[in-house]
Amino acid sequence: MTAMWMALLAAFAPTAQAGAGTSHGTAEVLDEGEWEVGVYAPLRRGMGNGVELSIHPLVALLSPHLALKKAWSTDGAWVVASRHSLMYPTPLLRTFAREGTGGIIVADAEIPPTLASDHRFIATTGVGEATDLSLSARVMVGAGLGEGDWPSIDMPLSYTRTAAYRDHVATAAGVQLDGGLVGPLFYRLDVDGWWLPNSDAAWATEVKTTVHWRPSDGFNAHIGATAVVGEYPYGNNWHVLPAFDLIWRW
Amino acid sequence: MPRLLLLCWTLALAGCDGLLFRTGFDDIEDAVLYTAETLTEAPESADQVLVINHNIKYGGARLLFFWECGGTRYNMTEGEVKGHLDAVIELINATEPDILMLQEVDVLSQRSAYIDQVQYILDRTHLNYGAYASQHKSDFLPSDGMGKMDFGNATLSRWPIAEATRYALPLVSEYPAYYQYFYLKRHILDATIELPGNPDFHVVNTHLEAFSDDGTKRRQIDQFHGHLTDLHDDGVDFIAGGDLNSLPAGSQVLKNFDGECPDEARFEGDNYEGEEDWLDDLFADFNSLMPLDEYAEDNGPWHSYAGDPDIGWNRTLDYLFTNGTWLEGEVMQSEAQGGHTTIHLSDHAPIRAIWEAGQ
Repeated sequence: MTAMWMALLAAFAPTAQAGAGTSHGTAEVLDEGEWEVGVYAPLRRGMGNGVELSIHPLVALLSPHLALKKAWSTDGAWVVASRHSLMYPTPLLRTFAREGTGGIIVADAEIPPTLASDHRFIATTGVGEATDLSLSARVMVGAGLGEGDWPSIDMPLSYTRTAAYRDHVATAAGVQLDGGLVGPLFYRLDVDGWWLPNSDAAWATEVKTTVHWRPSDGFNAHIGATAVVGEYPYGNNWHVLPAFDLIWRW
Repeated sequence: MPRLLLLCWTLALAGCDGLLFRTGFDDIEDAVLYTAETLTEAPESADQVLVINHNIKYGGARLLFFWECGGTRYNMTEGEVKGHLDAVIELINATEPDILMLQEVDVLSQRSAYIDQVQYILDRTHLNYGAYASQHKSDFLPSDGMGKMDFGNATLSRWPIAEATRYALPLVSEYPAYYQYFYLKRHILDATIELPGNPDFHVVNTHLEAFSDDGTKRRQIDQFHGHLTDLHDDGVDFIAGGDLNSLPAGSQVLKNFDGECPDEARFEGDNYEGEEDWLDDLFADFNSLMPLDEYAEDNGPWHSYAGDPDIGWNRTLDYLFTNGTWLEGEVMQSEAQGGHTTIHLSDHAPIRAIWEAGQ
């Protein structure tokens, strides 16, 4: 039960807390041989040639996936990268379809084998002396391999991120600001707008605000909140979720 | 350590309740008021008021849900919910009650296709106004795949509802805090209806705890009794009732009801032993539609609950009281008793009564 909740939290943590590491949500790619991992943020490794691989070990047990981030341009005013991931969320979804406490999806749900991919295009530039601006566009594509019948997960963050599994496509665009506050304290402001063209509920806006404490290049702790305003099959609603993580880089 | 984590988790939930799950209620808060899409002219006199009380099982009719013995169903389709509600509406339109007291009404729940059942019924009947108070609310209920949940009690009326208030009842104290946080929160819904010639007429609607071994149900009954006593002492007329989940004195069967699942731990049979006198004060201090002596003589005609329609009505859980006078009434069990077949509508039978004004 506890493991399942951890998996649930972790499954959505990378997106709920984009910016948890030093370069999440930006076009920056880890250098060759560099590693980064968070309590909730995924394990990442720089592979060289502007390539970075990432996986969330805990989530991967129930939702096998792998993400590749590639820097395309690092010389100009804008750093440009893309991130592509492939996932098989079926076992995780089926784990959540259960009786009793922790049942996120009804136990009689028929969840077909589902494949999905997530593609993000990110461009980052400096604004002023100590602020980075990142623009992103994202599309998730999914397909069930067979007949299925399962309800949407009508909760913040989850609805948008599982929409492609049920309705084949989800899109998002985002703006992120990273800057310094005082000494080792930094801030991150990330605004994402979702458009779900095939879903019962078509839009959501997420505003993530976090304060980061970076005593060294090798450690980052942050805390903040994610506000979600969006449409659900029952109507519009808003929520505020806590965001926190501890991230190590070496 | 796990307990400490649960405590932290519960405190975090409670602290963020207004921002995330939203399961909580104030001890006293306004109920939600409704108005029908089209108003129907209401009678100008209310010498006699026809009241119906009905637990409608959130529009589930006789589908067997996962929480019932032998049940397998979870979410209903929109077509199923509307079909079941239409059958209830057919009864309402055939009987034309002046006041309708409902329990187990969904207004925004994933399990019932997010149909606002109060508005749905108002818009398809002669009833004009409604008051609703939730007894189980969560923006997302992480249990049994229930998702968004909002269901409770509703009082509908031909005449305007001046105000309606939700009074919280005691929570089940034996449950751990995190479970209690997400669990049902019972209440008393007190609606003030502007009856012609009696603008301060109270309709008190409740649905008490079904499962507790810690005396919670007894405390809820006592608070219900206290609420009615206060109204009576204030000199106002009231009708009161609902699903009290309790058997009255004189019940011939208190446990081992037919149709239960004794072999499945999850469906431990209902046992009302030791509760025989819990409703006595209500019967002693107010006028019950059901005379206790008649009931003691023959329980059958007053049975209002049937878990299995093939077995039929087999216990009395639903009641109507007043500090005035009942002219007549009955549990609408069948064509023969009540004039309508009702066993397909819900696991509870409607109770019909005529209240007489000015006595």
